[in-house]
Amino acid sequence: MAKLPRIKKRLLQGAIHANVELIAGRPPRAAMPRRAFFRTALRTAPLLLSLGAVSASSLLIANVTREAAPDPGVALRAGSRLGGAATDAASAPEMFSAPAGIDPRVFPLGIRRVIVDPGHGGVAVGTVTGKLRESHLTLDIAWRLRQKLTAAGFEVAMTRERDEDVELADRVDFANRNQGDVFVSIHVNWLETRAVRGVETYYLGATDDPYLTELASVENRDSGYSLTDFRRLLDGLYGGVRQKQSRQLAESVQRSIHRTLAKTIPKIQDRGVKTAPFVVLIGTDMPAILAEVSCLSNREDAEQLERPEHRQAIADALFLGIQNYSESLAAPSGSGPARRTPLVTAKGS
Amino acid sequence: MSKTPPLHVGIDLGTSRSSISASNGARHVVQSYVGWPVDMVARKILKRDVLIGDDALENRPMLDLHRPLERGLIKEGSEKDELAVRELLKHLLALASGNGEGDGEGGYEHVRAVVGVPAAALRVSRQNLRQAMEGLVGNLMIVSEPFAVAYGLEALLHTLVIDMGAGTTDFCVMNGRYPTEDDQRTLTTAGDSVDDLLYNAMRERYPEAAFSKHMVRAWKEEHSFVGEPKAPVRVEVPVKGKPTQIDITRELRAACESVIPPITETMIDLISRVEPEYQSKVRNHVILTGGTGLIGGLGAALEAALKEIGGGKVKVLRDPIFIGSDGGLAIASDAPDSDWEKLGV
Repeated sequence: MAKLPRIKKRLLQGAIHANVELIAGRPPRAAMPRRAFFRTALRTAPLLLSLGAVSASSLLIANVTREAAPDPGVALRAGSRLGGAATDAASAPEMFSAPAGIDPRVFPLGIRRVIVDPGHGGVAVGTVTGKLRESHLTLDIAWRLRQKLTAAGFEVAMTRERDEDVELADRVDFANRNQGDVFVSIHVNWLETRAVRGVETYYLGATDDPYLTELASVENRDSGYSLTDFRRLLDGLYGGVRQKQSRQLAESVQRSIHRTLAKTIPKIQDRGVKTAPFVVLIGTDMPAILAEVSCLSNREDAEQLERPEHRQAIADALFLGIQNYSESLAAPSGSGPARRTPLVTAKGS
Repeated sequence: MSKTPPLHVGIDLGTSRSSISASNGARHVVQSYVGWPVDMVARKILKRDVLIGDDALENRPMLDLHRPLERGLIKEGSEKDELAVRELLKHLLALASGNGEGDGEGGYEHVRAVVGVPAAALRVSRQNLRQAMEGLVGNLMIVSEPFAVAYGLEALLHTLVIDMGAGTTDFCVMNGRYPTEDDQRTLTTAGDSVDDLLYNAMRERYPEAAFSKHMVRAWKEEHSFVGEPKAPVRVEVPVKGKPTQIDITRELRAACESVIPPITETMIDLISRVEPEYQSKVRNHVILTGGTGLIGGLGAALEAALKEIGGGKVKVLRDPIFIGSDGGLAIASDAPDSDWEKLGV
């Protein structure tokens, strides 16, 4: 094989180059932010082109803002907890400026398709108190939420529709394939301090809180991602133009759940909007939140969760939060987006 | 500058076993265990400060025993494990250089080492390894394990290497250039995950039997298979102190077959990403190596899976112990002196 020495030489040069880069502290070729930058650029290219067209029509489009540009610090901190890849990219020389975020108000489209993700399922039951299982509760609330959303004209796709184990990677894949406008993951909390009753909502970001680190670790377990996949997911942090929208959605949902439940549970704590690196928040391409809608560790909460009316109240509150967020995007009536691509069926089908 | 001529070595740092191949002809393999005597009494009996490999395993009751490599990489967050990796490397270098006692710190300045790590090892992990090697060797090159295997076998074009170790299964498509992240995958479905499944299944079926993870690993290495069993697999374990034969055929088969879905899925995914005109060549040149790759019938199972995409051939390497370190040695020997000078530790 005459080509062999030439190929060997090329391979050796590649290996030496990769090691020289390693010694110099530069990230490997494939983990360079250049790729993330181009990917983000590709993703936003149609929007930028649209902007150009709108500009030509003399419409005011000064809302292109850098506010939603990814915060390199977020990726850096997330990397310190989830592996080195994000740290690699964040610490790389600043060869490219961060991609500018685009305020969705430039495109007053509202939201049309909601991906509802009932947490856990099948053998992954989540938290358990007596005969109550988190996986059953989240599915029940998800069905109720689906009914509300559908009645209000939203399209809804659920990551699972029955009591089955769906890997986190498959949930993410399902959401992305269905091109949801928002992703809402429903969970029920378990707190060390049993007396606490509260609700909290997460969007993607790093955390220094050991409790949240442990929680994310538990929720991300058995994600179905390989080490390589996970590195790619962390690369995606740099395409974080959706982070601001996720925060706004989280705030809207959190406000709605707390206000609704406080009517019947005066003692309920508003545990606030928080950031955490849950896999379903990292991997999804759309604004995404994870709502802990109750505390199964609290006896009174558990008793309430047994009541269908209470689960309906939670679903109503989630609906209201999503609807308020949608309206905040200032969609004028009748100006909704064109019909979306058909829904992809749930995992396994 | 050392006047001693360079000694080239390839090292396969494995979760379960580590091997070294050297340009002076030396080849050694050791179990990746390192242990320190737990107290003065143990030190007095063992007459050594640190024990490595089989020696460490045999004397484990008297040792603070570490298996310092997890998924083929230095375990994070434990200074003891970092120290253990250093001891393991020192031991391997001492064996290869013919100096049983080792030269101590800075004793192998003339050594140029190529070390294989899992394909998806993060940069941080590679940096940790460089630190662990500091002062041990003169020059160091870190490459992905399946790349080292492919280089050693000169399977450099249109080949998929699947290296199934204890901690990870590494995939690498060789297409004539240095593999990038997109050409490689690492799964944690590997020998250890089979051991865990088998151990748990046996615990469930035979709650009164006494056995350890080490025993389960040994049974797996001797009897592992997928598909229909050729004969029942029976092993002897103490039950309430009495040696008893138990049948583990069903449990062993289930544990071994657990690796098939993720391996086939990843294999087919990687092949589907190869340029279309070369996919058929890659399908027909799949190399299965590593200790876990020796599971009986696994090669045939992968070939059966390849039928879904047009069929292919899987070659199982029957003697995988030194494949990785031999590949590393080939890389070390082929790299020009001028390039080695850039890779000082």
